Amino acid sequence: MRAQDDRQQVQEDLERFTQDILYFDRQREELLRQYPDRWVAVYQQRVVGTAKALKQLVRQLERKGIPAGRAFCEYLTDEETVLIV
Amino acid sequence: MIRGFYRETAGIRRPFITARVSIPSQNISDDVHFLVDTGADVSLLAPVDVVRLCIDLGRLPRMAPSAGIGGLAATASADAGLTLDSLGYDVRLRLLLPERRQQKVLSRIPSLLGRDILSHFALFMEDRSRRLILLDSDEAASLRLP
Repeated sequence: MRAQDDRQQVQEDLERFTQDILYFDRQREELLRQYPDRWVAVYQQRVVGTAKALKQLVRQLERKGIPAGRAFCEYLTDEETVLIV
Repeated sequence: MIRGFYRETAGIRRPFITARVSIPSQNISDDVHFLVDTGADVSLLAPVDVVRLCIDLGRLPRMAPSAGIGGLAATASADAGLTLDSLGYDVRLRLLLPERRQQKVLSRIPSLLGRDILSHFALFMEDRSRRLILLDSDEAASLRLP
């Protein structure tokens, strides 16, 4: 039962994380206007931190009691990069 | 069936799947979104996620450099679990090391879901309808494909 609960919790967490990414993408233009060339963290479809450097942002989240590993973090810039991986 | 999603920036669409990454030796269990990369032999954790998950690289063994379009890159490895939806897999996960001089470039590289994980599934992706689906073997067998 415990393992099943854990699996259910992971599924819910991943769905929340996905929704945070989709929220970021929907708001990207507005966020870029507000926070150009900064790292932005989104958690539960809210912006919960911004910083010039990713390590600063992680420390900021820790201070707020938000687990950085569960928050979506991305660098906002208007420079586009074509990925060839 | 596991559903992924597309992200679109400046007209470029990229396919992603979220997964729970667990590294028991460091008591880490966090969420990562992976770019689906059928060309990657193995899955790779990008520098942004290495930093975000607060992974202690000093406790992980270095691996032979990985080769990509941009040349060779330094990597470490960790015994990890990847959970997609309700399905879990044990992998030796590669981590791309954050290097100060490459910060700007490395910040744009996403974590990659490679064939070590994708080989467990049939992959269906269609940009037109923005559908990205991983089917298990039973689901794939039920399709009448040649």
